[in-house]
Amino acid sequence: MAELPTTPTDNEHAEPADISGVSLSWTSLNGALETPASYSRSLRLDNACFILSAQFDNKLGPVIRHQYPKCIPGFKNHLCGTSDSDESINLASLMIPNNVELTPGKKDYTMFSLYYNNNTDKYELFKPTSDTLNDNNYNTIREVDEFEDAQEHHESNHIDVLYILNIVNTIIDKTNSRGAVIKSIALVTPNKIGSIFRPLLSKVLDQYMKTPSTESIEVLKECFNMINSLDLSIINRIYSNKYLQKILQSINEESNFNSTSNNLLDVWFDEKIKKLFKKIFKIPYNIENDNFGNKVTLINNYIQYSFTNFTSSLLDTDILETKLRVSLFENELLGSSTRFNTQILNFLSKFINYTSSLPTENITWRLVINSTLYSKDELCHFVLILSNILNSIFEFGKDMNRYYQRKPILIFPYIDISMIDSLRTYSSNLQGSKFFIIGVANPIFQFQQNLWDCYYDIDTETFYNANEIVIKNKEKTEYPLFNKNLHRNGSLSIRKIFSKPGEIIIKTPKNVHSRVGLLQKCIQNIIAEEANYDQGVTTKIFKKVNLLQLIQLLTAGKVKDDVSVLDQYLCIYKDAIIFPEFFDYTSLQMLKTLSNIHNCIEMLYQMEILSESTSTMTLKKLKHHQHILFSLIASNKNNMDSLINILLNYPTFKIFDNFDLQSYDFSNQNLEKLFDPSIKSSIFRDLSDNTTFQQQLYKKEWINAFMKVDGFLLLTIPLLFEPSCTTNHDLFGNIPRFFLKPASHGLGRSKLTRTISLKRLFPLNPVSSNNGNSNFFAPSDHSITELPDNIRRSSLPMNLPHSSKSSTSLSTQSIKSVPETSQEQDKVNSFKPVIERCKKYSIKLVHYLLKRPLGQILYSKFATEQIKFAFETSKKLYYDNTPNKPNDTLTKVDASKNKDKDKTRSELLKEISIIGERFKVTAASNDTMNIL
Amino acid sequence: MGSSVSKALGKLFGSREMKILMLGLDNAGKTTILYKLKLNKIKTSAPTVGFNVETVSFKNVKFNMWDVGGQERLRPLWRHYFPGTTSLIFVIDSQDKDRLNEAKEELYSIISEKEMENVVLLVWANKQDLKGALKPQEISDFLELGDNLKNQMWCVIGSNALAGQGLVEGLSWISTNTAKK
Ligand SMILES: Nc1nc2c(ncn2[C@@H]2O[C@H](COP(=O)(O)OP(=O)(O)OP(=O)(O)O)[C@@H](O)[C@H]2O)c(=O)[nH]1
Ligand SMILES: [Mg+2]
Repeated sequence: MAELPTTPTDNEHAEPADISGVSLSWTSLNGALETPASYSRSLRLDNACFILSAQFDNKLGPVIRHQYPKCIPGFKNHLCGTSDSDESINLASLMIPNNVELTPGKKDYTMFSLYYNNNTDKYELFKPTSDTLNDNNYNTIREVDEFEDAQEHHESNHIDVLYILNIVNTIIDKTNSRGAVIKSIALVTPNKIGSIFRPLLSKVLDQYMKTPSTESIEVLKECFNMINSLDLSIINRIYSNKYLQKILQSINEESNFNSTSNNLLDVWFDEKIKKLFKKIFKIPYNIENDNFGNKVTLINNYIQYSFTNFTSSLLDTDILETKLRVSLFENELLGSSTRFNTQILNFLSKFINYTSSLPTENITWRLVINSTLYSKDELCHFVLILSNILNSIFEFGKDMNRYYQRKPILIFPYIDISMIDSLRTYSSNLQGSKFFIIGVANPIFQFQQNLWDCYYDIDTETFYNANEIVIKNKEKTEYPLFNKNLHRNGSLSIRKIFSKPGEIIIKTPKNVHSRVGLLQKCIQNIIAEEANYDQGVTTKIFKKVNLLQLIQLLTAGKVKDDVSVLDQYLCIYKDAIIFPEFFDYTSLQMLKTLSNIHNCIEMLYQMEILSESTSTMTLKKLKHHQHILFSLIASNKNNMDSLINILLNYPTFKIFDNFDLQSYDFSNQNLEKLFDPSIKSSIFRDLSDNTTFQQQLYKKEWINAFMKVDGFLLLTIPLLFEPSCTTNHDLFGNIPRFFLKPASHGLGRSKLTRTISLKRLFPLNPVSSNNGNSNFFAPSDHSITELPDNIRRSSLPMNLPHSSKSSTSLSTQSIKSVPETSQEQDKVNSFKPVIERCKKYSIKLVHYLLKRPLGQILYSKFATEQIKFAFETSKKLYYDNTPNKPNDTLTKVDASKNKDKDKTRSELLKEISIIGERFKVTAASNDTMNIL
Repeated sequence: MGSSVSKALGKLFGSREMKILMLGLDNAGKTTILYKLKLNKIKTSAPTVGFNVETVSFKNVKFNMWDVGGQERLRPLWRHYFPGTTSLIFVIDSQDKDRLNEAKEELYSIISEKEMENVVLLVWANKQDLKGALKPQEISDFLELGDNLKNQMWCVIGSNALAGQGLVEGLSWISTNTAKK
């Protein structure tokens, strides 16, 4: 314990510092989870490693007052050890931030982190980098497993990163010689989610400031114990599944979109579904209590912790009754980011303009963000939200070297001027590209040359590019006339005016126009529309742009195999926003395969009637890609999570296929016109327009298109294929085409195809007329079993009439038309086998999806009634030998039933590695897998 | 670029901008002075954590005034505010005799910096209203500026920040002595 006496100059009570290093012993969190009975405190990662307090001393300035239970190695107070130097000065100035005296009674927060340096055994404010530590030549492509294994398991007895959450307040106090008391307390935690203790710390600070300084250390001690009396393993486990978190985030974006079921996830927390919840999050024990017996409650999308197992006679009851609410979505830890959405977008549009003008050889940006109007809390949030957007690899404070081993990103939510020298030194020691995001609340930073490449003032929304700023006196010769006038006055002060930093001028390069890429275009549109879209909307749009550009990169055959796809992407698109979860090896393969499937489907769905050989070939390719996708999923169960996440964000519109996204300048394009529904036909729209599963919530068509989650249809569309079709056109006989809608847009192009498809459109519709209150027909299983066997086999009865009028008038007709002519039967045979294979793959894919609890929920939401019905029917048709155990049958089918045609599991695995190899090769040269 | 041209034109027609750095020990009255000038109000109720910056317009001159906290640990940070300073204002609590020497040392350590060797120096001998406060002349004698500053313009003016006495005189002096030296 290191307690400082109240008078900083009084040395008497100083205890010898324990600088033997922090010895927090803890083992794998998983171990603790699985054996709750043998759970012991020593096994646990403490929530609080240290509690600090700081104060603004009227004579000295910011000082650290207490460090409990001892000093952080590297941050001895001047009274904490024998050394004269006070290492804690920087900490104190981060804990007592600038201008906090101006808002008495209003608490503010700052956040920062400390990094362990192996060489010195001390913590530092700047992360030791690969330039100072070993460069282990990190592989740029990582497997999913590693991604998922996010909970760090340390064997050593130190903690790499400490996160500090600091809360400060100013209280007017007439008894104080300077009229006010300014104090702060800080939680030092190894847990990234330590910020959940905010409400608790806030109350503790109140009591701490009321307590006489002689006793105030006791308040800190009790606070320390209280924080450590809570066991956060449940929420830690929930957050540790990175892919699941990505999926939840994707779902959350979508549920904002779909107001009809306010939140898809509400359903999870229904009492009946708690089992499912535990299954999804792999929580093996009851969640009524944490491991220490504290009460845990599930409320909607939150876990609520109560300190029921902690008592204290010292702390106010108000403190003891604190309840901590933690969102199950890790990305919500930062709180509602909607507040900053406009500000962030305004910044991004300027920033992307800047990044896209950078030379490819030298992408580097040290970004300083200033605000004196926002609170430090808001500033820190702004910086952290931005950091998440600009580099979602980065998790606050955590080593994010996954891709940037040689390009460390320094993120400082808030620093003050006292750290400027260390920052300069740190920056100059770094080699190569530098990426900084630093929050400041002092405009003097703008005048610190060679410290930043871009400087952004949030208050005035001004972006400064260091390359475009020239100090005037360097420029004098360029303005002879101007200069002459000044010399006539001939005073010293003129020179001074020139040399003062206020005189920096902005050279606006006139004819340099950097292109407006797709992302930039979207951001500009969002800003211009002033529609106050929330962050879910913008994130979804960013993700889709990311995927669109990534797919073009992957399929253009330009991918080099010696550089990571992510790095290539960054260099080519230069728009700085990436979602690294799409860039792991498996995801890239899936993405490419899905794109191929997508292309095949669109090819087959087109209005033109393809030649029989083209149709057959395309169907075969479709089957081939389905096979690859299935192999990927079957090889590793975690891959299904990647697939789900991709499908939740997959852009199904093909509009941008016509643009080279790497070079096209969208500045004169109108996004809204591009998405005019009357222009393009799409199977995805035709399928979804006729259902209620997604509604057009936004006024803007392009936003609706981007927000649409219909990637799941890629897996299931083959289920709708007509096995007895004669052309690619009646392959989709069951799907009412938008273009054929009578009179709606006057664009019914083909009379010919219309008659064909109408014939097949409603082959049987026995229930629709009875189903008065429903706009679409969803036959129950019961109604199907009544149908004659041969009809069931020859065509799947699914139909979603666009209007009830047409459905009733057509239904009787179509039933009559069901019996096929023998000529048609002959043609059918050439397509039928491959169509059936496609259907079978779809069934398998859906089957695997349904094996995941989350997959079940998503399937029930995203599959249309038509598709659900087709799935059930086809499954029965192709696999249901033992109706009671459909799962077994399906699984067996994979290995046994199709023994001769399909590959065994080991062969599948072998093939995957071949695919992997081929992927590498084709990525480098021409893509043989890319069929269309 | 536009703005700097207009500043230069402004200069020709008599208006200009300058950066003023206001330093001094804690409790000297810097912040009180700043807000007396800016708002004509007494606003201080706490020491300055970091800095304040305000633009004060006076006689066609826009004074960009930086007031930086004067506590011991904040003083090493003063130098980060030096670049581009036209004029240094050093505020002294004329009643705080015990710390007069401390103030003198701090002042000399500032003006001995290379970046500050050309600035115009104004010393406000503040808190003249208080009993026992040293007169501006006494402060001036104590600081021995005449002996030590050969090439720099300097001046010591008595002030009472609460009443606003001496403040305008100070700015006026800076204004004239930066326009033509
Ligand atoms: N009597 C009297 N009191 C003054 C005068 N000027 C300032 N004060 C008081 O002196 C105290 C300190 O004034 P501040 O302006 O806060 O001092 P400062 O130089 O900004 O101090 P730091 O911010 O700590 O560096 C306040 O209580 C003021 O009211 C003055 O001319 N006369
Ligand atoms: Mg002050």
